[in-house]
Amino acid sequence: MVRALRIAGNVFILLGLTFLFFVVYEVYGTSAITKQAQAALAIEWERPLPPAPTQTAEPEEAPPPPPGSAVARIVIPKIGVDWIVVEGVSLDSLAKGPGHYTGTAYPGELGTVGIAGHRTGWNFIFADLDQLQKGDTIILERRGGKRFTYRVTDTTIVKPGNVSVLNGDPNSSALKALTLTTCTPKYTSLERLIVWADQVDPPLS
Amino acid sequence: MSKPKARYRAGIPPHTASAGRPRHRWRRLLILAVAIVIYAALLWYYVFPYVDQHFVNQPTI
Repeated sequence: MVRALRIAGNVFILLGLTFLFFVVYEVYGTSAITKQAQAALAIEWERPLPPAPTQTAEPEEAPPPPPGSAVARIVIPKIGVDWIVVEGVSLDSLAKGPGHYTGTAYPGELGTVGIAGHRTGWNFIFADLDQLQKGDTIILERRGGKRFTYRVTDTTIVKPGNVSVLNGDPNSSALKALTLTTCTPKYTSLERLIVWADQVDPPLS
Repeated sequence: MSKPKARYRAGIPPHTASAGRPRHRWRRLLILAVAIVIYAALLWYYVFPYVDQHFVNQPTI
């Protein structure tokens, strides 16, 4: 009996230490990976763009940038967000920073820009996304310095798999919009928090 | 005569080498340290990422 209790006690101590180790992993381990990647992306971001090739034939649709490469910069002054957005939303891409849903529009293009970001760990990129309210400003910048300002129109919570949110706010008719997604409630991945915004600057011509 | 009894009669304290040094303590510590490192590495590279992806972080639709 005493031996069994001793073994049980040791198992519980091991489980407790394992849990504490997991907290360290989430808070410091994952964030270190993201910080390192963001530092490298910031250097890539500052590098001048290569000159555009001269147009000789019919314009073809450009292939999307390689996954994990810098495609935009997102700034949300209200919650102190300022990150380089990478292409793709795979685990590897999201480990570097917020990820652009491949297939959605890029900032300034017609359509809805879709961006996902971690909320727990991984530098807590979108940790405070739930504080955004209607009218708040989100700025997206493309390489070369072109800035696009979006105004939050609505927020909602949906079940995972509801891809229709990537079409933008259903109550808005804006042709250039933005959808941000992250997990909710905090520290779980049960549902998705959605923030919709419409481009207000530059205005649609 | 059994070995522990002989050691007792010879005045050698239990769990020590004949010279009175702790017996194989370094080996036990080394095994424990290696086990801890392997356990921590398995958690860090396999278990935690799995838990993170499936239960904590899944921001995509």
